Amino acid sequence: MKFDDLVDRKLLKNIDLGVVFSTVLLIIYGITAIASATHITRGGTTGLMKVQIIAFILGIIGVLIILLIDYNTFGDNYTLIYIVNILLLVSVLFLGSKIKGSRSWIDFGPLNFQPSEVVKLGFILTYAKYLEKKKDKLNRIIDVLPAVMHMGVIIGLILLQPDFGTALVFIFISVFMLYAAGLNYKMIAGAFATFLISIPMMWFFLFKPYQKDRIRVFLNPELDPMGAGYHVLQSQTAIGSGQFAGKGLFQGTQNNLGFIPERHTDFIYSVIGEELGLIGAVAVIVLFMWLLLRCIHVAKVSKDDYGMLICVGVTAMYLFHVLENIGMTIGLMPVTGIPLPFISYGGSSLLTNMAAVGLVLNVGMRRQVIRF
Amino acid sequence: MSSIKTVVKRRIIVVLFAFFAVYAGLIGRLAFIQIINSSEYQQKAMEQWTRDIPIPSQRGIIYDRNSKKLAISATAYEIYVRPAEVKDPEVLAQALSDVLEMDRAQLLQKISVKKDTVIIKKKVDADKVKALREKELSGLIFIDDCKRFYPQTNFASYILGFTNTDNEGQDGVELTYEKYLNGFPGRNIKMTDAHGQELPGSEAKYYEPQDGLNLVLSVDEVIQHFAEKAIENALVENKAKRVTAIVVDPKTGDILAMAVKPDFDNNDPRKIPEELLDKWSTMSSKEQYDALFKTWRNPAVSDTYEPGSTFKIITSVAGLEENVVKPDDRFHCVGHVTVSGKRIKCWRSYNPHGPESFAEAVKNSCNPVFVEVGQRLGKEKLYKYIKAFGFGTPTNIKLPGEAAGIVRGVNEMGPVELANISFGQGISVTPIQLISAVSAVANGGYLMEPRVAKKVIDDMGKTVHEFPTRMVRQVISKETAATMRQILEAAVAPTAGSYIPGYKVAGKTGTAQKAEGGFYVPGKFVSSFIGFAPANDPKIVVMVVIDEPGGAQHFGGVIAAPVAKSILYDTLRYLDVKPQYTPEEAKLLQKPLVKVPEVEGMSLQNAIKELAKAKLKYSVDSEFEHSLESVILDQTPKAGADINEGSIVILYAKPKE
Repeated sequence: MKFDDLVDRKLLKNIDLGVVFSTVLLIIYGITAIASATHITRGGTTGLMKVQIIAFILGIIGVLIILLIDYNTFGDNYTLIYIVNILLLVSVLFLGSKIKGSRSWIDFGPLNFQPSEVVKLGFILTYAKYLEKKKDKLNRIIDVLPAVMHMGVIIGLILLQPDFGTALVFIFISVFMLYAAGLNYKMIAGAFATFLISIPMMWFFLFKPYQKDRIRVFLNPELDPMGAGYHVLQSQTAIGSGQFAGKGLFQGTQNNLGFIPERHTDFIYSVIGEELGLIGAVAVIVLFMWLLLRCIHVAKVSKDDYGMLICVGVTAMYLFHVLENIGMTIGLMPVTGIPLPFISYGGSSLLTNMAAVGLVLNVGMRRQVIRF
Repeated sequence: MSSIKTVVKRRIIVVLFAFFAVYAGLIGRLAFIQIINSSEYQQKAMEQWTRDIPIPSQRGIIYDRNSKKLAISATAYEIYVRPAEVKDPEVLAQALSDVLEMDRAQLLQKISVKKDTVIIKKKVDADKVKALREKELSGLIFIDDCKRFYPQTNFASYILGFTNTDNEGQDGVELTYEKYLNGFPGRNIKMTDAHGQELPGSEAKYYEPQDGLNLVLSVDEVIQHFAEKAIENALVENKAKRVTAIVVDPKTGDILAMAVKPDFDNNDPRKIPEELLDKWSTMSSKEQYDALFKTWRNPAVSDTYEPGSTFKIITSVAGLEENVVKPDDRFHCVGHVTVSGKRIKCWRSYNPHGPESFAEAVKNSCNPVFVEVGQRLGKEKLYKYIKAFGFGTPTNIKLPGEAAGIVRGVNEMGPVELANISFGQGISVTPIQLISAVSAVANGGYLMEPRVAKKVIDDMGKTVHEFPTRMVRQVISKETAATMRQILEAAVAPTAGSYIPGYKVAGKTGTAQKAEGGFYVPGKFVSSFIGFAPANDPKIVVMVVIDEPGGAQHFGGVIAAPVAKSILYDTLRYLDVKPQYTPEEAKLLQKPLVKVPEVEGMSLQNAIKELAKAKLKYSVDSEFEHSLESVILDQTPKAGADINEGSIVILYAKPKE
């Protein structure tokens, strides 16, 4: 392992402050929203808010540790990381506890751990390295197939849980990274065509009835207003009734009366939309834009392709989460269990997202440092 | 150096564009929801956390003229289920099916629906709700409701009408006075959370319901009872299709009674008519509805019929008023009269009335005389009186579905039509029109608008709104009316079916063949009687219409007059009208009572002997040709009755073949 001098002034000077500030603001925003969603002003417990704050502190420590390690160390050990990824995903299939029909969580008594969260980062680290190596050979199908295999194994294991939403995240990240790695447009067109053709196949052979229902209900939530369409309708009602300026923090009726489902996790954005209105809702989007544009910037200035691809992968991960989560709360996307990064309650999710920030900072920090 | 950096720099532009497009999409959608459509969502949100429970208003009471309750509102409940709160749907469905007598499988399906609330049943009686409450089942909700209740079933059905499940009037005065009877429902607005739990300390708004006002009818419950009882018997005895009776106070136009049999139960107006019970399930819903609608149709105001001889009253007063005839004018009946080459027969053409005065002609109901009077009047004048008495236009009685009747226009009246109308054919009227017209004769010439409701009162009994009596117009002079009353009193001879000693009954019978599709149907008649008493100061006018009598007799004087007599007698005594006996009547009353012997089935000859033995007089109903050998079909009064010596027993003899 290669450790840099932590107090290296050059390194610290290169820390991207935009990434840091946008992240911290998003997390504080999130903790506030969790406080409201758990009704702390109305006799609710502060437990979840505290857990999130603790996760935030742990996350800061985690980021600092990641900063100590040169990101290329991860690249050098990418085979090991890949194997660990596979082991984690296999172990959850055996050790995981079944929640809502999926084995995604490993129960450690007071602590729950979702391996696929950690694997997201692991995957970005290994896939970036893999693509860096193959960057010149992504023009022929025969060369692309191993790249597809690399991600295919991971995605396949996730589908076994089954966790369709998370699998989609991985696909999205892979596509973005492949694109950034210079995948030839012909291939992209081909892949897109294959995807379109495979939609009916997926509908008939892959999707489970509940997934089909979700898509049907997404297209028309009124089909089942008290069942599958309930979440979307309630979420939209909450956001819409917030109007331009919102009902005021802690003042949302739909939030306080319990009409918003999963309001501190997947549907936290509905609470924000209701209580802080269009202003508060757009503020979240602007903060994410700021963060993502800074990530892209770091990708651009990174000293090597590996760093660039890590940043692209992390950006893609955030982007997908944000699009899917906000999209589903306002009826633009079907409902999946994808949380809103930094904002939704969830320790392992926050830790993973902060670690990802750590990776981006790591890449950005070391842009001018030449290793000998 | 083939770094992919250069690729990225190119591709970064594409990605940035995609970013902006996607985020613009998100923001656009947010703006759409939160600004453009926000009021709709606000409305939805509000609906979710406010629970608006309607509180039914109590429908007003319907009283008769003496404050007897004819329609009241009883407490009932609506039962709802909140599926989310149901612990064991099987148990709940079983309990509901047991108590409410509903299908268990259907109930189970109903309460398993993913809905906030589902309605199970409306108008559930309090005892059933109590039974359900005692079971302490979760997810059941009871909401106060009212149920209309008519304490006397099958009573004044056509006046009262009925309400639907929403307590809205559907027929009768329930419909025509809906705006007074129906109050304004109140509301109870509560805040609830997503589980339907009421929030403690939340602002609940309660708006008191405004109860409906009470309606006081012109109807007298007691007189209505007399009428119902009388026609119920008449319906059975005469095997008639339907019998209608109306009692009116001639001075005010107040409807004192309006009875129709067969009728329906106001408490259950949608009950399947008995005669259709077998084939009901095979009928289409439209057929079922039509069948029910037929039972709800009020013949007293909605059905028209050819009045026949009762209409001669109108021809008579027109002739008297126009001075074309006087009571003492002499006529000679030869059994028929020829009009424009068409021979019109008198009903007793087999035994012409011969010489008679006009007053006697009314009593004899002699058709040729009325043809003559009609001709003397001319069609314009007769038409003027027909219209003035209100025929051809609805009387404006406040009951649903009133018909106008059909009066031939004056230009379509040829000499034959004029002759026919003069004795009541070729014109169709409703019972309420005819009784209103005759009331005008009874009260001195004033056509009154028939009135079913007198006033609207509040719960303290204070009058809120009065429906004043209304005189439509004066049709004839007081003198003409008085003359006509005498003529009609004389028409009800001691031998007549409606004669009551001391009560000075005046009236006219009628028997008309029923016309269907423009032709007279042989064997189908409408028999009627219209009359009033006492003739010198009429207190009530009574009309009885027997539709399609199926018994041996069909003449109005034979079957309708006795029904009217029973109503008149009961009512006049109830109204405490003092009898005014003529010297002969007084003398008769002094005589000892004897029992009427049974003479039915005897020959006329033997019957006369039998009656003489009992010191009774007899009168053979003269509407038939008969001989001493004729068999007696019927007698009035019946055998066993106690009457004064020397009274007359009317005999109905079998007509000669």
